[in-house]
Amino acid sequence: MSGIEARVSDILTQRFGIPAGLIAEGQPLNKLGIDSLVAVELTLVLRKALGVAVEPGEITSDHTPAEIAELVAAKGASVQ
Amino acid sequence: MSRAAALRDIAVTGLGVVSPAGLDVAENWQRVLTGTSTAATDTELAGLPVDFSCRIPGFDPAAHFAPGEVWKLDRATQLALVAARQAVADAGLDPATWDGARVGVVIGTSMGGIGSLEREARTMLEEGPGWISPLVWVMSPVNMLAAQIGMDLGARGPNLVTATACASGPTAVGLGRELLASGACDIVIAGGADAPVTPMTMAGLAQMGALSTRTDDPATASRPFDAGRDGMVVAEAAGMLVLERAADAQARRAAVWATVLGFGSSADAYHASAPDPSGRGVEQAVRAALSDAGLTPGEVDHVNAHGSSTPLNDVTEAAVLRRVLGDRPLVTSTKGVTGHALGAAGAIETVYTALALRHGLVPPTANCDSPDPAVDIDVVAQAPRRAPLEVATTNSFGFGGQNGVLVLARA
Repeated sequence: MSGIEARVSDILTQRFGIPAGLIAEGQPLNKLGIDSLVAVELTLVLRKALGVAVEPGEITSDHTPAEIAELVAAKGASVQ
Repeated sequence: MSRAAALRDIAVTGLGVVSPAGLDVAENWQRVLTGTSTAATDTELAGLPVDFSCRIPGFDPAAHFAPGEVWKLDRATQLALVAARQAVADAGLDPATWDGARVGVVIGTSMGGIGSLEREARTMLEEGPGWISPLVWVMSPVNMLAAQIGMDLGARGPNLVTATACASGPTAVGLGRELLASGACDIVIAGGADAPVTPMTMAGLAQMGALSTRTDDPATASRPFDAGRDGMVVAEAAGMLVLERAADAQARRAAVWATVLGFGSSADAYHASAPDPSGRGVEQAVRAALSDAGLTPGEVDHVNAHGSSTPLNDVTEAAVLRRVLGDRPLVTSTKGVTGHALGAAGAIETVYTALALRHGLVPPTANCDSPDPAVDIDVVAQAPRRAPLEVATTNSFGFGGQNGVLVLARA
């Protein structure tokens, strides 16, 4: 798991209460109890936490945590 | 009794309450009977002109909701859900097996998810529109209190919110009763919830002059009918009742706390916040409730008063009670203990009224140490008073002059 992916997973657990074990299964957000509204909320949280210009709509509940990590990494997110 | 009249006898088969006086019905009743205030200095209100309130000590949302759900629920909704679940369990009903299409939900609130709205308003001003949570539309609107209960319990019948300010709770029970009497529902979850202790609402109420300013001694601030009262103390709470037609409750051998016999509603049509000093609107609501119940004023044994501890309300209300009911009923205001939970107040007080009828025990009005000489009614203070209680009323009056009165009878 990349550093970014670990950070996304961390946010899903800490901020959104998704159990880490469930995230590790690699399923899309909608299987983790995250609907379209919460996907927008997640977008805002990632934007603030990682300082990347990700906009509502770019992350959907069809994405897996790994795909989201890839998306924000492509936008220049990095973790020290 | 005619068939139509029988349909209007509504049994209270379940009670639920989360308030500053406790986390369930038993804790609430025990604390209310002590007649001791729950008001205390509130760190979230530090720096405001009035920095105390009645909070719910020990309420742990994580004990009731999954981590993935809890942050999506405004505090008012959390309180509403917990009280509703309590009431349904108390009624011995199982949402997994009931016919959800026949279960209605009617919830009263004054401010709904005001805390969430206030937080997002701050985000809007400080960070801009691109940082607003879409959940603001899930957490703030008043309708969500009833909607979330419907989702939580699979109640798919009429799903409504009543907003008559501090009369919202009795209004919800009154409307719930109509849904049962008309046959629209077989079960109604009715009550009220509010979590209005936020910096903005408290600052506004302080500006209005509605709040007690006893910042040096909050525990003495809510003192209904006392000569030294100087305003209300705001509380957070939820109170819920499960209502069924008395015949249905009897058929399933449900335990019944009390029977709802009547509801009266009126408007002062006088002023945005002050009560009409003539008491005309209040009197109309009391008389309408008694008429609906088919009872005469002389039959009322106990009144759970609105008793908000404001100078004007208590003297106006007492005058109406004296004029309509005489000096016979034992009157209390449980707001001395709980503070004023706005849209939830009348709901938790309906719960307390049902408990008073059940136990034949009237809780004392906290801090009513030197009753206002202008208050010429029998206010129970210092200690609970035991008496055979057959009929009780509960009064709730809201800003805007919206009044609601319920009549309950011992089951």
